[in-house]
Amino acid sequence: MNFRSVLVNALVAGAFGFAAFGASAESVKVGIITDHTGDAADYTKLVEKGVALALKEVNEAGGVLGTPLELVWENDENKPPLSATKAHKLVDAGVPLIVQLSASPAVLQAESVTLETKTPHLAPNQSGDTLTTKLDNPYFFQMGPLGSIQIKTLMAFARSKYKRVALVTDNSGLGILIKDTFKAGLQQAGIEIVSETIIETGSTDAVPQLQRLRASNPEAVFQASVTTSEMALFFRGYRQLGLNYPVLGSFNLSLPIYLELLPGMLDGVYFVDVYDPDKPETKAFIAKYEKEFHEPPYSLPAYGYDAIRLVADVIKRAGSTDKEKIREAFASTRDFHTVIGAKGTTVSFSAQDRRGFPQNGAVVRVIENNKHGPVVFAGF
Amino acid sequence: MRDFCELIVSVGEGGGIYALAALAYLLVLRPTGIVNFAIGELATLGAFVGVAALAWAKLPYMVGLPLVVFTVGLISLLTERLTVHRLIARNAPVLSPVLVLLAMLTIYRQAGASIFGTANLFSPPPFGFSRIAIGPFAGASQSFLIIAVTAVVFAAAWLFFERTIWGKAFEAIAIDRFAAALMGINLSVAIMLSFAAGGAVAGLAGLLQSPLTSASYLMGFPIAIKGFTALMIGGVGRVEGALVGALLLSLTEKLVLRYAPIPASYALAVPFLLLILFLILKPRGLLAAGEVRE
Repeated sequence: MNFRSVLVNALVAGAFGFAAFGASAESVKVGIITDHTGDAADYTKLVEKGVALALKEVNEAGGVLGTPLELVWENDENKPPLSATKAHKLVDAGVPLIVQLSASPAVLQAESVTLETKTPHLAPNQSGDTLTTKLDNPYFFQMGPLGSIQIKTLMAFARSKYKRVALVTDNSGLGILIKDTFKAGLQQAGIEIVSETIIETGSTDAVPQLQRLRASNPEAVFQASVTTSEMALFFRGYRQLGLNYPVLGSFNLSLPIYLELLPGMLDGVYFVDVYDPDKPETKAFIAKYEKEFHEPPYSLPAYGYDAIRLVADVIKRAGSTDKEKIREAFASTRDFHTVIGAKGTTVSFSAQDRRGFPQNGAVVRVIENNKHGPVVFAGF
Repeated sequence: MRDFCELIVSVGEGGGIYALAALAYLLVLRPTGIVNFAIGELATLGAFVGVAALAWAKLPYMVGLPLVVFTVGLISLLTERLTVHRLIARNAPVLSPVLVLLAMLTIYRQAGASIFGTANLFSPPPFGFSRIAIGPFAGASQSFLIIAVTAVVFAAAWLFFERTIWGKAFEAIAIDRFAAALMGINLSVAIMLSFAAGGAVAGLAGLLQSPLTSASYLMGFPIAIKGFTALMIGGVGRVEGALVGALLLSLTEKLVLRYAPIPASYALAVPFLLLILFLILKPRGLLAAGEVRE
């Protein structure tokens, strides 16, 4: 147990007035695999804030099955082999359900364990397109927004506006993957890619790449980078060279870190997101989150918040902590209202399709006045 | 022409960072024969100390820069005193200090991440994010600062080695350590100062780069790789070698990225192909010490 786990449990203790760990009363324990010390830690710690808020809310409302909901934390350092080990540990500890916040490769490894042990397994924030298909695991449910859905929305937005675009990314594995996904989407949409450049990890600037982009004279730039330093290099260089093509980015630009590192340099940039501040569920979430944490939320905490609310709802509908009943309750989830997703969309699962994020759930937003601004396009 | 002149500024800026990293290696390598693989992480510590001094404490740059240089130099000196010095004193095998410094790499990185976190931090540039044009040569103000500081540091390093008695002492140690000791040169002090100087220069490289990329606990590794590559290309014998190697590496990188009609992913490999080529054709680098003295 580390500081962040203690924080979450302390919030629960505040709701019940006794120590959440080492509690004498019974509780429904749900396993949660996350990354506290690996390369996804910066991401998961933000998701966990939403987890903490939802857990507090659930327990203030009476918990599940008349008892508090308690989380049993395991740190997989975002490493797939360790993820499987931690899943085993949680199953051996008797948890009827595992929520996992670490990245898609780690989730896939843990899936082999949840399949073998017939343990319901929820991935609330991962966008890997093949998590429910690579391994046919009827106990695995993915609520995260699929990369393909996000790209489809961004391409639908771009198709009506641009015919010739430039493509930029970094040389991380995820950056290349997103670039390839963008490329496939652009080609399918009939949009010509006039230049493709990569900003290498550790570069001191992006001037050669930006000059190459400038020479290709695109109508817009698709930015697929995911590493913070290289994204910073791109936008600083972009503004330095006085370039003004529209820029369209992946979900990565929905992270507030870029607004801090690049003040005023991102205005007018479009990015795909799964969070609409104008959605009623989101407005309610924003009010609660700001009251708890004194800062505005965005998509990452919302994933965690939706995850725990869904878990509580599923266990209530299952009426017990029996794994099969929980699995059936997951598979019969219909129109569950979430913070994540475009206005008017909800999450549903079935036994045949365990991907809950709606096809029309992604949105395109624009950055204005150094803030993540309104939705300009939704669905596809 | 506009593109080419802009590119030259970019070459100078990238070459400046690589050159400072290469010099940081050289300052330790020449008198001791030890490759200090922790150079990259010392650069990262320089970036972090810069964030603390300039962004958090809002100290003026003329105070923050010397503070960074002093702090990282001190960290490197203390590392030498507490670890490397003891190994040298006990006649440990040559590989032992190298392995210790590899361990320090991890310690520095984890210490930096523990204190400053793993998220990127904003590092303020002293002249803002303005663009400067000197004739046809245009670029970010930070780029020109890097070029200017690198020029000053290398000029100072050259003068030190060529015109001062301590510089001659370092050179003597590099040629024959035992003879130098017999001539009365205090090896222990010289090695301690070489680590301090190497750390200080590495810290300076990190401070100068961080406004461009932001300060990150992972920023050290690429600096270490590029600095080492530049040193191998330029040769470990002379200060000028570090600068020449760095500029050549930066020039190749930028020209390929800008003009080569090959896919972007292949362009990234070209500098390393250059390194392999150099090591095969000129294993002692462009400016080997022996050749210069002849």
